[in-house]
Amino acid sequence: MAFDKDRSPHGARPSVGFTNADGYPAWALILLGGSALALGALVLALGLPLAAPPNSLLIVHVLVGWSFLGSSVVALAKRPRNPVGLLMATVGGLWFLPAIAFAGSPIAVAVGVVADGVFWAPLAHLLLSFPTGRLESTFNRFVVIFAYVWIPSGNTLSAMFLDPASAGCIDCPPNPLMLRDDPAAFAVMSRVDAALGAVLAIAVLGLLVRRWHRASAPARRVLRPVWWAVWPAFLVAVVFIVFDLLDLPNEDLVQFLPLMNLALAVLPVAFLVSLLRTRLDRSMVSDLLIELQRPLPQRGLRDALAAALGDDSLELGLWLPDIGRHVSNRGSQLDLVNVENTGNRYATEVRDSDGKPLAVLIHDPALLDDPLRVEAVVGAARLALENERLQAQLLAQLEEARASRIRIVEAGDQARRRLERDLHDGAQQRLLALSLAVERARSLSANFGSSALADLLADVTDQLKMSLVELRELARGIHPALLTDEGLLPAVDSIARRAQVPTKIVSIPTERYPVAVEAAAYYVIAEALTNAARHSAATEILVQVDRDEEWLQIEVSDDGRGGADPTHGSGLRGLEDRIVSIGGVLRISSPLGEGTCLLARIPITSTVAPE
Amino acid sequence: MTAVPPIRLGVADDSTLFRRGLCLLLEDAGFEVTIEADNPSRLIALVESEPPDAVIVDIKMPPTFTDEGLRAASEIRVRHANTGVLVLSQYLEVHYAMKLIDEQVEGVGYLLKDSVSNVAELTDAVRRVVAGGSVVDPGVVAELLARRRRDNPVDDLTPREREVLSLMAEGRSNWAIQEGLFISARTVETHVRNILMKLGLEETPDDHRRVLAVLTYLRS
Repeated sequence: MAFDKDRSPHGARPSVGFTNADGYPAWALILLGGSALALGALVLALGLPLAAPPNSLLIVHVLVGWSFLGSSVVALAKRPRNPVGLLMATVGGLWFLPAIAFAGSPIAVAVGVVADGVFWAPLAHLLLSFPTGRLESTFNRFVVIFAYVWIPSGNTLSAMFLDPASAGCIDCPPNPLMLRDDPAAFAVMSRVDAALGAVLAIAVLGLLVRRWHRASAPARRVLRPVWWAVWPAFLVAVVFIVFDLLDLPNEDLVQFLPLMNLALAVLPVAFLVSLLRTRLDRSMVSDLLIELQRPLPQRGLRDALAAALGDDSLELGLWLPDIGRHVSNRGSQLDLVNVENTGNRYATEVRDSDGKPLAVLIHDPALLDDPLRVEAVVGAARLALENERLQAQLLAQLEEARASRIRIVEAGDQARRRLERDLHDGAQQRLLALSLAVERARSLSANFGSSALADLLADVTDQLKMSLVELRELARGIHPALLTDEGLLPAVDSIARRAQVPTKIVSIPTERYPVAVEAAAYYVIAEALTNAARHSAATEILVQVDRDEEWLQIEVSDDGRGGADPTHGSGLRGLEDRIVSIGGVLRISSPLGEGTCLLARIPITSTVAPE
Repeated sequence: MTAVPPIRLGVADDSTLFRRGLCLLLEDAGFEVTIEADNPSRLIALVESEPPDAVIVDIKMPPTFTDEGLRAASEIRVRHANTGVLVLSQYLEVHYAMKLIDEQVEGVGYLLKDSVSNVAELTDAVRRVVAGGSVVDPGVVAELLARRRRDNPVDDLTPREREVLSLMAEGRSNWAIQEGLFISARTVETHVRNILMKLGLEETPDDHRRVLAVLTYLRS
């Protein structure tokens, strides 16, 4: 709230956040409004006795000044930081200034003559700088400065060659700026003045049209009232210039004056509407507040903010301190350097309640025309932003935890594979070679005819054979080579063959999958078969593996007594870890007396760490 | 014995210790080892230049150590009609045995490395593949027969019939069964007929087709 009624005029009450910390005191605004009224009254008082009827002309004239000055008071009160208010006040002041000539003194007349039409300069300034009050390009600045310099200079140069008396104005006071009476020179000067005025008007209008066409949607929304109101005012300027250029009699011009002045009087109102329009839109902030009460809708926080700010191009970047970067809510990184380097985007930083970086809004610079609105929207959304960021952080951590779980499972699998291979290539091979040697010894021993030796060697052979069997079972328990070499179906077929409970394979696809997927599927089935044999008292187990586009679905069901508790037994829990780590799900349904069904879904595209 | 030239064999295994032991054992048993290789491609090349009567191949060999030996055996079997193949494995897996038998049933054998140390068993297996018969390791057959199922016709067989079925699955002929079990040829024939009937399999005079039918039945 820029204009705080509760605030004492000289109050030093600390401002809260982004408010009218440097707003104008009420007395200054009242003074400006009072001066406007007084000036207008003065013009009326001085002019009415002198002016020719109809008096309506003068009254409309005063209305224009009042319109500008009155609008400027409102603008300064509501938008104290925006130079637009000051510019409107300048236009209003300069509008009234030439009337000083009514005072009659030579200095007053001189000022009045020089100030004639000077108000066009701040008006051009206003048009080209609206709504920020800043002139964006060098050419804009050049046009405005030229207007400020040329209009009073042109007036002065023309006045130097004009004697009002010889020009036919008997009642007019003498011209204090006159060097010599030279109607020819005056005519030339007037033409030059009018021509430059025309160029100025066209330049201003051209720049305005260009701006309109380049404006973004939010910028246009602000600009629209001015855009429509400027055309009548421009026509006024054109009519004046045409009259000057063609040297038409002033009497005809006078007939147009009330209409033209009314067009000018509308202009400040349009500026004001444009300026305050953003304020009317603040209702969107309350919409946002209501929306944020609810759990966030599908469209998400960015869209809610974009709607409240009226900027569809809005980008939201959440600051993640852990990685020291801004990321979009979809997780991709935002390039802020690029934003700052191009003039057509603007980044507004949002800080959290502790004053630490929270987020950044990348938006249309037009939103800066109403910083209070941006501040209000950001304030309303701060909590939601903090939540959103927490969520993003949580997701990042979850992703990290998942990745590390995958790594753990993969590392375990790799270790088992290595161990199995080492047993196969090492101990098993040696024992096999040894058993061959013993066998040779046995056949050689036959030559000695020692039955004791033959018996001993036979015993050694038997022991070796048993060792080999045990070692083979051990290796197979550590890791089934069949799974790695031949795939899921042969490996499952092998354990189903050995299962204690009759096990039927309904279907298993023969194709190969990533190592982690095959391992997970295999261990699910192996664990289910073991559990069924131990606890279920089932008479049959069915194993079914199906695949669709993305998932491998594994179902192991038995006709046992049910009532299996998935929270018991480290086997099932380890299994769940394995399945979840690769993004799958594991469900166990085991109603008492209705058998046990273990269901696992594993994404086929699961990431596989390179071996 | 000296009148007949000895059976010539090729041996391929990447484990030198085991390969050497095996060669010595075979030579002790009266075979002639003409080829020794530590990888399948070398074996194939050597067999190409001088085909032996049979090759004994380890299933896992370089470069990938999965089933190179199996593939080399199949290739040799296809290219050299007079060379039998005996695949050795450390894995008691029906899958590998069936992979081999499925492609070619005549003159092929799948033997566990454990069984090799029994010189009688080894000699018998080599002779059978050289003669064009089939050999399936008794351990693998036991595994096939051990499978538990509901309503399993195998459960309805008498113990003697089960013994006969095992020997059929190992690839033995009626004559070998008769020898092994010390029973008459007629008894064997009766057992075989009863078994095939109970399992719902057709009788066939061809030993190879019989092995395949029995194995396929047991595996399913």
